[in-house]
Amino acid sequence: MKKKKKIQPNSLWALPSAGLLLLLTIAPLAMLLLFSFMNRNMFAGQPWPGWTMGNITRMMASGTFWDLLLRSLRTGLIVTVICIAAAYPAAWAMAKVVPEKRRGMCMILVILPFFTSQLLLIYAMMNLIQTGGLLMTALNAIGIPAKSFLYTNAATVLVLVYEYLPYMILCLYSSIEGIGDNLIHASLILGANKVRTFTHIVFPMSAPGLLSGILLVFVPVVGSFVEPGLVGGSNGMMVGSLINSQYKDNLNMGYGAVLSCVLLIVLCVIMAIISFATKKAQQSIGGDV
Amino acid sequence: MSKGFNWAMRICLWIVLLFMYIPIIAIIGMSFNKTSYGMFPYVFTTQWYRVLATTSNLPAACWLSIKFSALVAVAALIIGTMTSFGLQYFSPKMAKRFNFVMQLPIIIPWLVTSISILLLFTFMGSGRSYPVMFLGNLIVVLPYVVMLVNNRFVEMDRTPEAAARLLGAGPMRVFCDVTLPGIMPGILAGGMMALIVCFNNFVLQYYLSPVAVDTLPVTVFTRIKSGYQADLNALSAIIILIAVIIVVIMTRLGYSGGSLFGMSSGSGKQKGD
Amino acid sequence: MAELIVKDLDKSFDQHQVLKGISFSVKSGDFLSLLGPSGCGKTTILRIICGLETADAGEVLVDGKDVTKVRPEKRDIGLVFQNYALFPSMNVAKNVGYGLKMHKVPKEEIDRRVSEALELVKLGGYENRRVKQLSGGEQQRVALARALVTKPRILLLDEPLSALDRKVRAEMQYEIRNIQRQVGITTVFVTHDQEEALTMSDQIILLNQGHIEQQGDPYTIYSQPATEFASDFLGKANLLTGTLTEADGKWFVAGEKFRIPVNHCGGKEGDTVKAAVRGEYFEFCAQGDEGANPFHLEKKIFTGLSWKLIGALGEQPVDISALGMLADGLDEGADLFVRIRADNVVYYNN
Repeated sequence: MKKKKKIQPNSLWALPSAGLLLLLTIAPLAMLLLFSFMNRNMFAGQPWPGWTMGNITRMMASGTFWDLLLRSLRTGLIVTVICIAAAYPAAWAMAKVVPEKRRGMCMILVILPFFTSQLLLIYAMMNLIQTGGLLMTALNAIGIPAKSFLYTNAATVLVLVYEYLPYMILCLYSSIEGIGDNLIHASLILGANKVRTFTHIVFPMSAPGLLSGILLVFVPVVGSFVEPGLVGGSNGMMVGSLINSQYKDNLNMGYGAVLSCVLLIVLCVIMAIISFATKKAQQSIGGDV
Repeated sequence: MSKGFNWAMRICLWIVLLFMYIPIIAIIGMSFNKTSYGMFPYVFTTQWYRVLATTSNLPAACWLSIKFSALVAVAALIIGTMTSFGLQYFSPKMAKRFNFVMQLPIIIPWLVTSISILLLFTFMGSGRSYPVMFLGNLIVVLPYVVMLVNNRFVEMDRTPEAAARLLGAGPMRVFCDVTLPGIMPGILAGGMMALIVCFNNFVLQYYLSPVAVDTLPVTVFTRIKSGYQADLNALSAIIILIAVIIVVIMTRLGYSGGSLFGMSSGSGKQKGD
Repeated sequence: MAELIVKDLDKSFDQHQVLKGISFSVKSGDFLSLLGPSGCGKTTILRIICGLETADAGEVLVDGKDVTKVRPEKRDIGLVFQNYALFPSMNVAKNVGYGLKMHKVPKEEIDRRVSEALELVKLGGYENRRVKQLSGGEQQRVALARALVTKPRILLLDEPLSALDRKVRAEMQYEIRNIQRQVGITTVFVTHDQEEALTMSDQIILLNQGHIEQQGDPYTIYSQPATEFASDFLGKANLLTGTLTEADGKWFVAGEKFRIPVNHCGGKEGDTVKAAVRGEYFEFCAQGDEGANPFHLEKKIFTGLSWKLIGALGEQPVDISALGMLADGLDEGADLFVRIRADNVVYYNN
């Protein structure tokens, strides 16, 4: 016997945003697909441009695109790994070492960059590392003849780490905070060393935070175009830059749409793999915790 | 954990914080520096703030951005609060699905979000315009409001609402008298998040703003491309100061950093006493 | 004051039927308890009466009028919640006066009636306190005042005492009953605590898995549990399996080495039945006295008010409870004789 579910009238309050999501998330993504198969640019008042597979064959054949995609993924990987490496100790210190009174202050310090604009952060970092900036002046003053690395790939990585590190810290902090001290103590008392305690207790229990951290860092970094454009120099292009230039410089909407679609699909696949791997790792070493 | 280990962790935290704050502090320092390019020699001045107040094009852009973000934030607040309220009556499974779709605009790279919205409205024949920019920014800030108000709904005791009904209050009265005060902290925090995220959102405004209309992020972007900007330093210093104030207020409202990302953090403490 | 009638309520959540044809009535001014283990549907009944939940079938009548379709805010039924459900953003006076404000009572009258209601629950002068500053017991009093101040036709209490500690609970039991008598309001009280139900109620309805096991006044419910479940839930009666027999027009339940008298209520000679006897209805007697049965005492446990004597009647385990002066002299391992009156035994034919 199947009963028809009654719809709660109050749930209809979510209708406006359901509509907005349909209009501004689902429909645009469908549009991305549609434009991928479109012959020329489409402008208001002009006749339908017609279908083509040209964009896709061009994408498949384009060495530049695949090069840039690979480079973006590599940058994403480097930035994410640096963020994780820096964020784990920092998050641990915030959650377990810093006295409770000063934890709020630390929290404020970590969130703050999130509330200032992305561009200001880039700008601040640019100023710091430019020729004649504070860092170079300081290094030269103590006798290290350093040259500014602004407008190189290293600068892109540095700026991206700078922008996205707080996300990783916050994500890891919230899950590490949830690990009971007595669990860690118990593990140490039972004779597990620190490495084992980390792999068996801390890692599995902070895995959900790590996963959302990766999602919040890796995905936007791979799709970034502002940072490589501003600090990466002429050889610093990433796949986002290529997509961006299809709209800002070349006015080739169809080709840009294809590239965006492929980028999205690649990101989805990678995130699915990471999320699967994290869950597996969590289960195999500490699923019972 | 042992003392030495904890000290190492603590030092790591300090290094991270230094890394995060040296550029910001440098900017604030330079906003009072007379040398218009580079750092040295350092001569104290407030002239850049005067430039900012008089000849710079930044204040106009800033004002436009404030008005625009306020409008988006108010819309996001109303729609977001309605959505959260409605979501409480979804089955858990449906609510999970809805939330997933809701978060897509912040998970998908903003570049792709902007492009796809631009394509849709080009297709519909309007292209870049104020309404499109408004809608684009709205969909990106909406998830934050829904998430923060949702958290309040989950933490809140819902029986007083039933009690109010039995005392003779109609649904609207119950919402205003009992529900609204309960979720107010979430609404305030959500509103501030919406305001800030919209105010800072470069990518969407870069793609969707009407031709020749420059919001603050767009203006800043064009200025940064041409290098050092003394009046921008001054504006940065002011914006950082405002950000400090807002973050302090948010923390006072009981929002830890984790809860801004939809994770429960410290919730045990809130319920404990 | 009003009479409440509940007819044939059915309710299912998902596939699970929580109420199966519940019907009962409460006389005007009476205090009725719905008693049962958690998950028996008692709170659901309450929520249907006040309109927070809709029944799949059945109706609720107040003073003969069907209110099933009336919205909760129009029903004029007061409810006190288990967790008090006070409005955290309002002070005590605002909380208590909320219902009056909704009924558009003038300001001065609200103030007067609020302080009257607070006096009634012994919280005079608490008007300007914040809800968070109150203890659990005080919060419950405020909730009670808030429910009573609008003079609803029916008062519903949903396990109002379960969150309070033992001492405060006993005080509140007495006080709620007192206030209820004073106001004379028809009251339905939901609880899983049998002692609470027995001390407070005029009538008790015992619920189990969505149906009514037994309805009656506290004494009947306790001394003559109508079903096995009832005998077990209310203070755990002894169950003795035996055969129904008749001798000289008198009826007995007899087993190996015991025979206890019963009042015949169905069943024929030779039926296997279960007899329920409460531990405190046994009476010690001498061998050869009329109705004497052998009781072997295995263990004595002191429970404060009385002794619990664990042993066997014939071959079957029985707990007898006896006051100190009767049990002090008994030794573990002793063989004794007990008897019981037919009025204090019920049996179930199954």
